[in-house]
Order: sequence, then C-alpha cells, then structure tokens
Amino acid sequence: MSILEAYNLNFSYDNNTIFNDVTIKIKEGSFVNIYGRNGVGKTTLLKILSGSIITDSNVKVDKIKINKFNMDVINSKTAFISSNNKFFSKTVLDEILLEKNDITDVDVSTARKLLDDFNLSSIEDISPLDLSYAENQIVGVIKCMIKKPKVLFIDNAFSRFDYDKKTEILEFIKKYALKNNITVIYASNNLDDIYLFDRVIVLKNKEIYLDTDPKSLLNDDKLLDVTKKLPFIEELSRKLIMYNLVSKKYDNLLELAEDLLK
Amino acid sequence: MKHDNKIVAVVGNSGAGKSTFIKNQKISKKVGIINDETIKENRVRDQLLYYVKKYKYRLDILDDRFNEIIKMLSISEKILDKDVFEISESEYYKVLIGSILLYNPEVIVFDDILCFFDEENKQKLFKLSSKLKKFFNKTIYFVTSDIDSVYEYVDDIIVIDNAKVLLEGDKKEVYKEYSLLKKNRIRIPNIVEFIKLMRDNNVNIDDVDSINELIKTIYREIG
Repeated sequence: MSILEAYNLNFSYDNNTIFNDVTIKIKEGSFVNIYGRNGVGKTTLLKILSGSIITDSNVKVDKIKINKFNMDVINSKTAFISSNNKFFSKTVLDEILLEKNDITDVDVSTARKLLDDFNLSSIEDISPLDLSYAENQIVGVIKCMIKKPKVLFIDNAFSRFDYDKKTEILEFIKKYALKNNITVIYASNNLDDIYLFDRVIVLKNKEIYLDTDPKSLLNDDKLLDVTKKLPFIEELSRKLIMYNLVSKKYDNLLELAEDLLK
Repeated sequence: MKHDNKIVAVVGNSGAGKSTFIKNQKISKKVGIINDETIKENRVRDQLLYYVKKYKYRLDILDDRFNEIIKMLSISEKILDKDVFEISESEYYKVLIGSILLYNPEVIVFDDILCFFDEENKQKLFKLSSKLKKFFNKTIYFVTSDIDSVYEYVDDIIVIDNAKVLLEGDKKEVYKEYSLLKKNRIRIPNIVEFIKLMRDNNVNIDDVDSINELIKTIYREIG
C-alpha cells in the first residue's frame, strides 16, 4: 500500500517553478533515495511530502490528505532529520524523548539501548549543545527512531560522515525500519549512497527524470544527463569494459581486479 | 601551518578531531576559514560584505571584486537580498565561501563543507582552488572525511586521528603507510586501494591519481 502519495504536484517559489505536475507513490516499508543536483528541489520535496510545506496539491500521508487543519495527525506519522539540527533540551536523553507523550520506563530503556547501539551511552546526560556534529546527527536519528513514525525523512543528514560510518548508520536505520515497518525517504546530492536503497528517484528540471532501482540506474545512459561523475567502481568498470579489459561490471574492487588480472 | 602555496587535505574519520584542529586557528586577515561559524549576518549581501569590510581590503575596487566573486561562484543575483535562511544549502555555503574570498586572505580553509555540494559543484570548487594556488599564490586546506573526492586535486595530506596528527606530507608518501592507516581504520582512497591490488599481483602500474590516468597505465601494462 502507498504510504506516501502526491498527485499532479505543482509548486512554485518566488516566481520559480520547482515542480511541474509531479506524481509520486511510495510503497510502505520501502527505502527510497531521492537524488539530484544542488538546488533541484530535494529538500522542498521532502518538506512537501512531510507536510512541512503545505501546498494546494493532493499530497497524502498514510491515506490522509495533508491540509492546514490536520498537521497534528500528519506530524504524529512522520519524523524529519535535516543536515543541521539544533537541540535545546537539557540533556541528550531529554531531547531523544522530547516528542513522546507520557514517557514510560520502556521508552527510557529503548532510548538507552539505541544510544548503546551507536556506542554513545556516554553522552546520555550531557547538553546537546556540547555534542560534536556526528553525535548531534545521531541523536537526531535516535529521536526520530524512538517515535516509530510511519515515514522517516532524512535530508542529507550524514554528508559530513566518512563513507564507512555513513554506510554503517544507514544499514542500522534500514534494519530498524524493516523491523518496525518504517518507510525511509533519504535525500542526497551524490550517488555514493544509492547501493543500499530499493529505489532511486532522480529529480531534474522540475520533474522526476528517472525512477528505478540502483543497478538499473547505473546502467541507464540517461543518468549521464544528470551527472558526469559516477561512483568510482562504476566509472572504472565502464572504462575497462570499453577497452575490453574486463567482461562486465562489478560492485566491488576485489572482483573487478580479479577479472582484470585474468 | 607550513604548507605554503599547496593544496592540502586534512583528513580523518568523523569525530577524529579535524575541526578541533582547525578551531585552534581563527579567521584572521591572513587565514580565511569557511565553516559553520563563518556566518555573521542575516542577509546574503551583508554576509558577503562582512569580512571585506572588517579587514578593509581594497574597498576602492569593492564593487568590481564583488561582481567578480558572485559570478565566479555562480551566486544568483536573485538571492542577494534574501535572508541566508531562505536560500538552499548549496547557495548558503557558496555565500560563505564568497564572503571569505572577497577579502583575499593568503590561506583559505574549507572546513568540512565540501559534502554539501554535488559532484559538478565540487569540481568547480577544485578548479577554482587550483587557479587560486597557481595564479594567486594561495595556500588551501580542505578539511574533509571524503578523501576520494579531493585526492586528485591536493598536494599534501594531514591525517588526524584522536585530535592529533598521525601522518603528514606529500599525498603519495602518506598513503604508502598503508598498514598504519588500516590499523587506525583511516580510509584509503579507492584509487590507491586499486593500485595496491594491481601491484600486489605484480602488475606494475604507475602511482596515478585520476581514473583517466589509471586506465592509461593499466592499458599499457595489461592491454
């Protein structure tokens, strides 16, 4: 079933059209990457789909059409983490539990367990203002996770992390989401992240330009209309194939090297 | 900081203390740092002009320099009168960069902001940095967790681990310390990994830093 829907979405800002007749349907439980160049409208799209920006168009969360009177309900079903969250609670634990009404012991122990899963038990009692950027972002993630929203929106929240750490966090989120039937919408401006996702929606020129799984996307020449810079292994594979040095594409360096060495 | 007229990557894993290392330097007439603390004004135009007015750099030709910088960074005139909170993330960081470049410091530090740009914008920034180094004698630092993006464009590397300098020097020399880096779980650039894989299997390709050069050297050895 579609947990998120937008039909014929039109949106302009300051006399600039951002979206022109865009229709999207997101299946519940999916792990979706929204990819596009800087300024194409990824943040705007996430804000529209989460109800942060209310439009005249037909946008539904869990079958409920977003309007300015039902934001409470919409907010209870969504959680949003952006690239620069600022937290003002007294302690990290307070912040994590901020959006829970009637906090129970189970909530507190869940919060502690999640902090432990990220190896951050030591920061439970400190002020969020004293956190490093990485710790801050992870606190944001935990705060969202504990809410168990229907849809978790992640707006380029991990771009400062190194590749391995980012992959680790995304894998953890994916596992948690799968277990709790949470749909994840993740916006990013590069292709390094796409391998973990079920579906990549590529935005370009006020519309959805490509919409497919990561592997098919990397095999689609239309991708080169969006960006000339592909992930390292993809670019290397393509060029080696062009020179007849390997027979096919690989998704890891070791296998690519083995083929090359034959 | 002793890397005159070079482009230097300051790398290390998230939370390793890279920005702490930089925080000990402050924006001064000589060192321009672009990070989340660079923001001082609410409006785009005011932010762009903040440092050049503070350090009174060539106020006589300010208008010309202003137009040159916004053109160079593709900052749209439409956003000049907007609040910094109204513009997109990439525009925001371009404005911060513009505000520092405008007062022409000798040393420019891009402190963990590369990641907010898409690949094409990153390339533009690298090309700009090469020009600043070559034609204007600048020294440039990129503080980043993403060594793969910058590797081709830098001369030297400083590897930070646990808020201390683990390794420092020419980039090819630094990544020769493969075991030490692996032991400290510091990321090795994809291209370096691949070259090592080849050499470990007795294919003596050159120690190149771009994919195009890599293809050429592979073809010469194997093709």
